[in-house]
Amino acid sequence: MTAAPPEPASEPLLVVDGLTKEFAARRGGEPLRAVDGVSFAVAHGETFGVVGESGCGKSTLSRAILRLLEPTAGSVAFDGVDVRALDAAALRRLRRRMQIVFQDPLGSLDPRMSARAIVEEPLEIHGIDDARRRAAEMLELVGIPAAQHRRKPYAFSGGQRQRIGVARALVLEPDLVFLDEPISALDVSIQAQVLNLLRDLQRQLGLTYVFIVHDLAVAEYFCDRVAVLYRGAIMELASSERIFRDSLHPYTASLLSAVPVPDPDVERRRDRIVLRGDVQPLAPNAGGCRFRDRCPVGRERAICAEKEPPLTEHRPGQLAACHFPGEAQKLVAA
Amino acid sequence: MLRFLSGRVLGGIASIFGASILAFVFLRAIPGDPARLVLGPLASPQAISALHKQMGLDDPIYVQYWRYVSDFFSGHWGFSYSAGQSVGQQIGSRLPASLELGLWAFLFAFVFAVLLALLSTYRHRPVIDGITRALAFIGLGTPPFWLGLMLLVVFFSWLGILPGPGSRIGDSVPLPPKITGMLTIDAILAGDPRAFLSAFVHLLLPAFSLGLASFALLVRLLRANLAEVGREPFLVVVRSKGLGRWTAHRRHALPNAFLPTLTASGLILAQLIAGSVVVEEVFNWPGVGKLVVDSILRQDFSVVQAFILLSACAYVAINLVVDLLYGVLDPRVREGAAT
Amino acid sequence: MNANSQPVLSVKDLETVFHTGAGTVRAVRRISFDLRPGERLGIVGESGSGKSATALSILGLIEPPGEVVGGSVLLNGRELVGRSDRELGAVRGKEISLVYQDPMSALDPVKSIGKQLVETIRRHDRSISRKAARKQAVELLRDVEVPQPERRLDEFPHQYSGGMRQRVMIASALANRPDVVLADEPTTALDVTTQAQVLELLNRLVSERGAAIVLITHNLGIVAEFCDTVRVMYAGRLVEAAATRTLFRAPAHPYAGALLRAVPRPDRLERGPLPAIPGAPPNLAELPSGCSFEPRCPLGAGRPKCLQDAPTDRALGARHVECHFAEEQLKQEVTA
Repeated sequence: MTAAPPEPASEPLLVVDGLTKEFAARRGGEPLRAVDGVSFAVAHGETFGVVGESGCGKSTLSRAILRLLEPTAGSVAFDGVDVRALDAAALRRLRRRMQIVFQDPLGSLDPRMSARAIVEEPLEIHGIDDARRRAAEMLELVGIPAAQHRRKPYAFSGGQRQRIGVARALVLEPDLVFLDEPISALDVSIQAQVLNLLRDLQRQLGLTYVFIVHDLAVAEYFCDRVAVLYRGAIMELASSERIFRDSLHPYTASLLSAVPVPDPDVERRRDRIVLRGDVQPLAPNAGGCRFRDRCPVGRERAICAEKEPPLTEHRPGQLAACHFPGEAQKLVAA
Repeated sequence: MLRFLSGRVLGGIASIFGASILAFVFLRAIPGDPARLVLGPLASPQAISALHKQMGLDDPIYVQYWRYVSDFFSGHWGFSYSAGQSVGQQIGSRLPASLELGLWAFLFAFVFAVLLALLSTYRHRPVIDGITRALAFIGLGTPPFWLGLMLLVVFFSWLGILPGPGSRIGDSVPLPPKITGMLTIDAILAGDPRAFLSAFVHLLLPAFSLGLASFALLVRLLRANLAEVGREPFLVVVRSKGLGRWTAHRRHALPNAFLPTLTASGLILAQLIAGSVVVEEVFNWPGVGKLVVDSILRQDFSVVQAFILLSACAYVAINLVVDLLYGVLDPRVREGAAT
Repeated sequence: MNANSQPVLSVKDLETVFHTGAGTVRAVRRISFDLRPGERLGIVGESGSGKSATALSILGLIEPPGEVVGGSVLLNGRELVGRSDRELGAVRGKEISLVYQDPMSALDPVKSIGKQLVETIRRHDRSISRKAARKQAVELLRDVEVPQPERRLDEFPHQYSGGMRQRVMIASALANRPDVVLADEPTTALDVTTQAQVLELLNRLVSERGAAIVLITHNLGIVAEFCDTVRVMYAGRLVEAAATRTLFRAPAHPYAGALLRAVPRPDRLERGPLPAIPGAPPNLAELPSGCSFEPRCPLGAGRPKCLQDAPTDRALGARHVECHFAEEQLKQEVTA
């Protein structure tokens, strides 16, 4: 299912087209499509957000793009190069330019290695000289003072561990960085620190980010454009401003609705869409729109049950996969 | 579930075949000529080659192997040349004694391990915990034969309250009718409390000596698991419902802590049943362990081969039961954990 | 909420410490609050603030190496601190109950949901038969909107989704109609849409059953949505106490103010760097002698008074705050 993503001005750094990842079902039955025909493009220097809840496939998406998991179908082009066609050696070289920061700051760091060793490792793997100096510089850049470089992960706080993870990802000077829920495991006050750091580094090092997150407020704040993912497919894709002020898809409206606002006056006054039922993760799609069983707009409508809406550009620069775009938004016009 | 089981059964059969090949190869690799051992150093070459033929040692290797395996499973365990008795008879007469000893040793080890592990962990009790760990430490470090001897010295020689080595039941007590060959069980089946008590009392010391090391292993495992499970959030929730510490621990922590010890327990049980030569020696217990060691020394292949295959079958059977138990006790295995 | 009635829960100078190898961690440092019948009180704090230890201390579930070393907790007028575990067991799950975080690990994985619900019911009503208890359990599941409750009663926790498990926990906590519910980060591990569902459910049930609730969370949005009054917790102390509206309009404590500013809001599009709080929460085993927030405080960092004197609780209009310069903070908020 391909729709032309809004083409940014210059040649995009990353083009994902119809990417699909299936997992074999456990005891016979249909395979599970964690990622189902996802297409988008990311421009140089952009911050592209992928928002979704658990089971929507966002983590699988990043791993499939990086070929940490082999995609089942579709294509990934990085700086014009077809990622899926690369052999092992070429893929390795490519990995220098595409890196990932993981969610769990404690789990993603080897507890036996010092901070310095963790950041040096990628340099050693890729045979880059002067590893020690580069690692030390990068650690300082992310705010870990030299005196602490020899310490092991357990001696650092959550926020600091995440900074080490960031340093590890950036020490190879990649062009594109995937940030997979980098702040979810952190305290609120530390989240702001890490977000600011990521911003600064992006400017300093000329990075492009793909930011994967479940918190829509954070995505709106941090990203230029946002793709809303549900059960493996993009429901809406637009600039963060549009998503915030003028979204089209009912799921986007529900997500926005569900995030509690830290302002009692606003909070108590507004109308909300509260979804019924649970997110059905990865269950095979029975036909029709994958959001219909929870959708306040489409639950009863025949066309939503029969035909899966394609991702269409309903407004310039704004795509949504919905037969009735904008209707849900009217329900909560605050 | 069925697929799960049949996979395990096939695996078990493969293990047994593997064990049989290993046994066969290693025994043949030991230097020396079994026929010569039987007939003595002065035997004539003709006598030796005649015995060779009779023992089937002239046949090609794969024929010997096939005969070995098929004979075992059809119940023909061969003839013990050193003892002059059929192997089936030999092993059969001594196996129940080892089985009984092993089972009781396991029972003691298990019950005490569970009790002590629970007591040490349901509350913060450094004293009891310390005692338990000390006992475990001693148990692991104490050689069973030394323990057996010391126990005999104390309880038999000095105090005279427990019977000495050499018999499984009091001399004056009539044997219960033989069904399994295990005296305590036969006594229960026959409804004979006197026989049961006598047999039990004779079992006490050897079972304890044999079981202490297993107790030590089990209690350490269980204790660690219980302590870990005890820290899980659901224990806090259970307590917040109003349950007392002991009930919460017993009802909720124990089943969860027990699962990882299932495998270890199975292995321990199998090991105990296979017979402990040393304990049998000290207590002059008519079990299978001593028989096997003697047979090895005499290069009596038939006995050793049969025993190896028997042990392999026992291990496989126990592991199958353990796997089944996992399915019974842990619903996540049964229903397939999703999250 | 009945403003004139006696508090159903009254905590006074509660103090809890943990004796660890790294020193004595003072997790709860003399906190006090009153909870009136039907009130929804929020406690906001981050990790290391001592908020979870507070809930457990109230319930008497602090085990060695931790211990409650002082203070009083009055539930319906009766003292809980110092009672035996058996006496407390009669009260837990009946007059006061707990909804815990992380539904993944908050239910016994090897027992069916039904068994666990029945256990809650029968613990406090020995006369009820198993069958009757099961019927009640089914009704409870229905109440918390678990579909097909009769069938799902005999299923196991791993067969329920995270949201459903949390609903079961709520059902269990409300089964015996407690007067007070302590909810410790009840939605933290949940998706945002599931979180909204669960909060709505909690809202309805708590109103219907007339329970008072203490909601412990780090999420300011939830507090704004759900709670009547708020306490802000930092380094083991309650540094500000106010009605929700009052606090959110203008926080008197610099920490509360900084926290509000550091969070991206879904209703206001913001750009530019977030005003982050520098540094990290203090080590509760080595607390400084002055104000514990001083090193990170936009107002007080480096100020001699803040370095030397730990501020104590004082009234400021309709609120209580622990800060030497609360008036200054308020003035800033107004002009901001």
